[in-house]
Amino acid sequence: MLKHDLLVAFIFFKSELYRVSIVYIMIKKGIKIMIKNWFKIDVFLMLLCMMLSLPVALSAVAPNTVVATINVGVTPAGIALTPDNLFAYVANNNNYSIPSGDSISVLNLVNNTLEQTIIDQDFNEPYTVTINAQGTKAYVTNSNSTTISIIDIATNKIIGTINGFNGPSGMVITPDGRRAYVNNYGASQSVPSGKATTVNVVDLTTDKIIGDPLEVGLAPAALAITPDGEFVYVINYVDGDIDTGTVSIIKTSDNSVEMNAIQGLTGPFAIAITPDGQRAYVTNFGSNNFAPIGTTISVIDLNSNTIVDTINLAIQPSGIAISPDGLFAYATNYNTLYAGQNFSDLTAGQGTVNIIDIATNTVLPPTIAVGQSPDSVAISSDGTYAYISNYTSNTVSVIALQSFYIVAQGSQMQNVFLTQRDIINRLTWSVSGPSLPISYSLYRDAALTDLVALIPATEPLEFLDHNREPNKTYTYYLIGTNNVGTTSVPVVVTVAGSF
Amino acid sequence: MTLLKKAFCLLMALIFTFCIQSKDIILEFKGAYYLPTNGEFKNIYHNGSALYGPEVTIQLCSDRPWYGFASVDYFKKKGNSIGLCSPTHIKLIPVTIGLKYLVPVFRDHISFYTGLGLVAENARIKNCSAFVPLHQSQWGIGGIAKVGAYGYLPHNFVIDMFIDYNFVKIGNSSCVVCTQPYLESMKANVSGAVFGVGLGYRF
Repeated sequence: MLKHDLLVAFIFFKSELYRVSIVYIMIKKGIKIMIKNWFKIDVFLMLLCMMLSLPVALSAVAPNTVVATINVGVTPAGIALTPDNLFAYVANNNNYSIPSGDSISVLNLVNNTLEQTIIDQDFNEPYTVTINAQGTKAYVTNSNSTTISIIDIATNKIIGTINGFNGPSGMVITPDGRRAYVNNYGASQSVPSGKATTVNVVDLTTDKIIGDPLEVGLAPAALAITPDGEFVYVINYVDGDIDTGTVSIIKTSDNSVEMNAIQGLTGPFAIAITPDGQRAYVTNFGSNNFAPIGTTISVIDLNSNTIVDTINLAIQPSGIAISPDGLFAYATNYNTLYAGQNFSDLTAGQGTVNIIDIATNTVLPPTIAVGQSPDSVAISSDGTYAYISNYTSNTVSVIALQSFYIVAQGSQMQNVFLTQRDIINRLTWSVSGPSLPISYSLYRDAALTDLVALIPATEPLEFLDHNREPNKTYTYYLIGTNNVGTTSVPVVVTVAGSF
Repeated sequence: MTLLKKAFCLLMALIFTFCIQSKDIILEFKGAYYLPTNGEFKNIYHNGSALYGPEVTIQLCSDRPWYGFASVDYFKKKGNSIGLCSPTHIKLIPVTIGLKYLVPVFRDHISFYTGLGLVAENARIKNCSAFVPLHQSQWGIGGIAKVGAYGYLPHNFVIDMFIDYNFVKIGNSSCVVCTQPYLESMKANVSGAVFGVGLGYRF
């Protein structure tokens, strides 16, 4: 290949059009034999490659909107992401007992497509998936049996089964990766669903249960472990009535249990702990008969182990997850009610996701419409996407999150020469979050049509707008765009005339 | 012909007319330090710098102490704008004409003098910023006050020690390129003191 070819390919490569550079080289190599006029073919190939590159170009996506919906198996419930955020494992609960419906859907998160469906006779109404920190194993709780199935993530094959549970319906792994805690909701004839009262401890080095089951409250529905691994918080559904739900706290150093450490929950369904370990958020789903209906989230202070706030949400808050930066919680509203008399004609309405500001415990706009009966939430470790399993729709909704937050300010300055004065509006900003923008766009109008400047994130986060009128107030609208094309809500910056 | 050239030609004609009638003519070359007194000028151009140029002094009437003088000086300085520190260059060319009153002392070995005059000053400014005109040429009219002393050396050589003060404002005219929509033009005070020495020949 000539140096000239490499140069053109390199230009494409540097401009991050990786696919274009590859296509360019491939086409050029193929046509090289036939065409002698190099210059003309270069122009043609560049145009062709630019056309081919169109799918590669980022299109702006507003934050907190559904960007993809992926069809999965029957009644998807739990969802877990590999640490590299490349794949998601979805437990298809198969609530309708469809043959071969007990399965795990493996999603390709790069393309947001179904990569593979794992079907194994070991599965029995799989309810949750937990992936170890190394990303090598996925543990599937079989909620209608006494087992947990172990999937080798490299091959997506079942490589083991852990026996001895009782309707396992949740699992957390200690930060050191050596132990897991599994809540038993109940599923056998001796202990029916919703009647169990135990948590098992599993040695993950041998994949065996160790010790006797730990006694907790009635119907442990879910659990969460503090970031330091010191405590496991188990939410006990009890009967789903108002204020009957409890929390049991397991001290992991000696596996001692404080049985009903916290009371006053209403059909607790899911729990998430903030990354700083200061608070837990529990969804109050309500009764298993869907009456009474839960509509709140309880906020628990983990220092005092008391409920310190209650947040009103929509109908049947179910799943919950907290963004990696600890700023926001994302909670699903299941919204599935009986339309007929005497608990008949169960009908799923529009499922939604609410965003909760952790700092203020308030619900922020927008309310995000997803599929029917949204169940669980999982957030990528880089904070760019949330994945919602829609239990009735048999889908997973992918929500692009606002993964960064811009704080901007403006001031007016002047550049004074001996006989000329240039009045300048100076805008500066800072950004925080797990996935920062790669560029910023500055507009003069709220409709975002009058672009002032496009500033790469590699440059100083500053813009000088020269030759402004004296004594005039200017308004700017600043948005950021991250590497997956998600834009921020425009940040409004007002600069008052100072000169 | 530009205004500057016309003024220069008129000045030369006047000087020549006086010269052919005059008994006492001093032609000197001055070197001086120009110290601006305006704060903005000092901030932009970092205080003063050297100023130099020729001056001719001509006795107007025989046996009378009144002399006429004319000079053209040159000052050049680099600086930075206030705010963004954009580079800027200035050239000042003051053209001066006026009267001196000489008082001979020490048996005509030294003459003290004082004087007043008019200054037409041209400022050529280059501002290195994309947001103001690159080149500007502006005029200002003002006055000058002088004090000094001539020391008469052997072989008709003369040494001149002097302090001048210029009162001149420039600005608000003749942008070479004015395309910026909202750009404010201002008058600039280029007044300042001049401390210097001249070496000349007495005809």
